[in-house]
Amino acid sequence: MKILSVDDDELILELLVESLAQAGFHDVTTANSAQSALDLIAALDAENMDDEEGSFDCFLLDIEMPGMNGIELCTEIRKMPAYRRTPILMVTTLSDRNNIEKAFAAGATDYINKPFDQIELGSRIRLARMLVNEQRRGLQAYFMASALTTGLDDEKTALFQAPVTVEGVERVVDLQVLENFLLQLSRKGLYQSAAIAFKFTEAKEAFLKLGEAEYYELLEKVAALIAKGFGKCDFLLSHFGSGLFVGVIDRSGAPLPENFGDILAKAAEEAGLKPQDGRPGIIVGDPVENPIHRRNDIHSMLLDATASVTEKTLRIDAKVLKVKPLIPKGLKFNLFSDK
Amino acid sequence: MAKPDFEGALAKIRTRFLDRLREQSAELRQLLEQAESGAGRRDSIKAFGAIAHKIAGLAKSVGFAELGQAALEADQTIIRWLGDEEPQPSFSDVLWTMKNCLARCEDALSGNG
Repeated sequence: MKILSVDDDELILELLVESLAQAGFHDVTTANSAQSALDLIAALDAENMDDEEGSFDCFLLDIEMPGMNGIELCTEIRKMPAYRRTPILMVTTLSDRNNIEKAFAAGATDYINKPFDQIELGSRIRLARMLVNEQRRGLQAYFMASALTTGLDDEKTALFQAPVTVEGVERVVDLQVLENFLLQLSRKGLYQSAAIAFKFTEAKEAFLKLGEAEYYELLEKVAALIAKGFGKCDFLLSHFGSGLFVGVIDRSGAPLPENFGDILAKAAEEAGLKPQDGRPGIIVGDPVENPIHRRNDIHSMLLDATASVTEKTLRIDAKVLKVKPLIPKGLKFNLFSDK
Repeated sequence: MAKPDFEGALAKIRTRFLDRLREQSAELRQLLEQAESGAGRRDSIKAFGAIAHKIAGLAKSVGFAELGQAALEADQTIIRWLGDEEPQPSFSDVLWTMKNCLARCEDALSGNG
């Protein structure tokens, strides 16, 4: 694996090179500023123009550097098509929520605090690599699925339910990146998070009617509407599959917009996403706030949020159909069962 | 277990860290005095924080855990003092973390770190 490590402290770079070698990563290039890193990437990628993949397989970025900082560098790297999914790990002393959130929003895959432990460094790089490979396989499988199938057979159902990463919308990240973000906050004792889920009402109908690529574009459109709806509230949003999205917000920051549900229902209607039967195009669940101490707490908070929006969706469906809602007790979808 | 060549490389980085720490300590002392005297206080404290930040990122990895912790506390307290988020640390808290950081630098340099 070719790694580019960027830090303005030469001793840290030396320590990273030695620690990475100790963890089994011997192909490491270093740069002592964001600009040198960008120059290096441009020069190497120009040499390997025939490769669709970039010259580096992983980036380790310090945040506080003179000139362009590591978060801005992360944004610049993500703009390059060859590095849209390459693991980017922030390696930094900064541990406040603002920087952690900005880093993940800029496209970071994970966040490691200095001083780092070389064993943890190695395992976090391997995990980031696995995550990116999974995303890539997931997207490939998604787009390679047979468009001939007309009903929701097992393969189609799996595709519909897959938490396919929605790309190209600011602050919308992969589900596992969202988990990494929450884990990093919990490591730093920053527990003030809440989750809120959203349901794209006609997701299933659209999935059956459209091809995978068109449905994927529609998911991007829905994600963009939700992202805009957050207004001034800081958030990160992920697609959970089945037209469900979950956002994570900072409870101590700007509050969620008042009448969030009405705002999104109106936005969906204007975007032509309102079902003909009168249901809102996007349904908003109740915010769920759980203390996070372990990975399971993260799953629990995210699942409680999805349960809330699902319950709301079932009630609205029942109202439209004029039947009694059948809401199972302890409604939860175990989306993490195979992780 | 770390390989012998890793231990050797780490020892070299540690030596260079201590060489740099000698210069940084002198700078930190001067900045602390400026902060206490009140002349250019904010700039002095900010510059102290930048040096503490660098020390914090490396000290523990090269065997100076106490220094790393003291530098991290100084860095974080200074960031909060310079920022506008509540609750803000008092100036005496800031001075205490600066003095503690400097004392741990001197411990490390005298072989007591």
